[in-house]
Amino acid sequence: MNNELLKQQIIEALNLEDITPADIQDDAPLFGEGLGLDSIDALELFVLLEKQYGIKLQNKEEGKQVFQSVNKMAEYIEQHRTK
Amino acid sequence: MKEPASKWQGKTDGLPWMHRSLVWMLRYIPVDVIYAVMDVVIVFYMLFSRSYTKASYHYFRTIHRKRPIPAVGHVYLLFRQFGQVVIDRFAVYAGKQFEIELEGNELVVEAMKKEEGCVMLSSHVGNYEMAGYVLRPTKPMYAIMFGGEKQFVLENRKRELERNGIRTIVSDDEWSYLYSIHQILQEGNMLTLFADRNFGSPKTIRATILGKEANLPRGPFAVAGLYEHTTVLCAFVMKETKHKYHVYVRQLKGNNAQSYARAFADELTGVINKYPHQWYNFFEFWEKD
Repeated sequence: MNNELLKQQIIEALNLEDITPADIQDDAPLFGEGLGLDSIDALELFVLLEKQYGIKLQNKEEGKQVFQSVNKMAEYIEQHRTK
Repeated sequence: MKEPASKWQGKTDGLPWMHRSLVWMLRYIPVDVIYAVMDVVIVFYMLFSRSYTKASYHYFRTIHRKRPIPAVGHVYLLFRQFGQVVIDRFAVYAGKQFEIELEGNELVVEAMKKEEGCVMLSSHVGNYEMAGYVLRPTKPMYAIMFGGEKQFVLENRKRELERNGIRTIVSDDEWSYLYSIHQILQEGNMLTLFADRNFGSPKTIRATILGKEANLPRGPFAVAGLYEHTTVLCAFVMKETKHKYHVYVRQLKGNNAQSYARAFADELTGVINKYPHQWYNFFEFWEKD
């Protein structure tokens, strides 16, 4: 899984103005102190995983785990993608 | 995107015993009598709820461009109408009925035929709760309730909504209700949200309402734009006469949060123009010049 591609997809899906892939660190938290995403952004990431990779998260706990950082997301996508 | 200036959450005032007493009275006393008492009480409410009064005064001065003294009169009429709308909610709990004219129900029927989900947006104008009594979607319809409301109010609303086939999700700070929203839309059901309240995100989208810029919360519009084929409707339930409401359902065209926000702002402008005394966002909603 290409982290740069994933960062670009996150930026586009969340319409993050003034942010480039270089601004997102692989291990930085996406929510809270890191990129400062909120729970609506989380919903949009749910949809991103579904549309781009055919992954349906089964519950909110899984979402919290997966969306910890770009590295965690990439790892999860690699293991669970269906497309 | 800015954070909205106010955190007013639209709570229903009053203690549980007051609400219960009002429902009890409405079982035996005609609504018109309660309205008449409210006409006097409203004056005191205006005096003591100064922040609400001030926000409403600014609304008439800057948005409707009324002169100072007429603006005060319009604030009274707004509070009077608001008082009647609140009484009507409790009157329904007490078993009273109102005449309701429905416009645009075919859009709801059409949305129900589709496999994809439907988002219905509304605003704190008129009396949206009445929509639950007339819009009868054939798929499960879910409503988000503000968790900060008093338990008695929440329970009453939940009971009334569920009696009309509307399932409820209590909004709090957890991810759980967001995951529920995801599931509701994935399963092709209907979700109703207030599009003028922060929800899941402090971010906002600028939109022009009645010719002036305002910051609408991004959350409800982001939910509307989540899935490509979701039908996005808006509904406003406006009080026409003492005993009659008019429900307006409109379809919003768009493909993302921004375009849905703009379409919603246009519909909201139309409805506030027609019913200026039924705008019940008691905070400085518009950007300052």
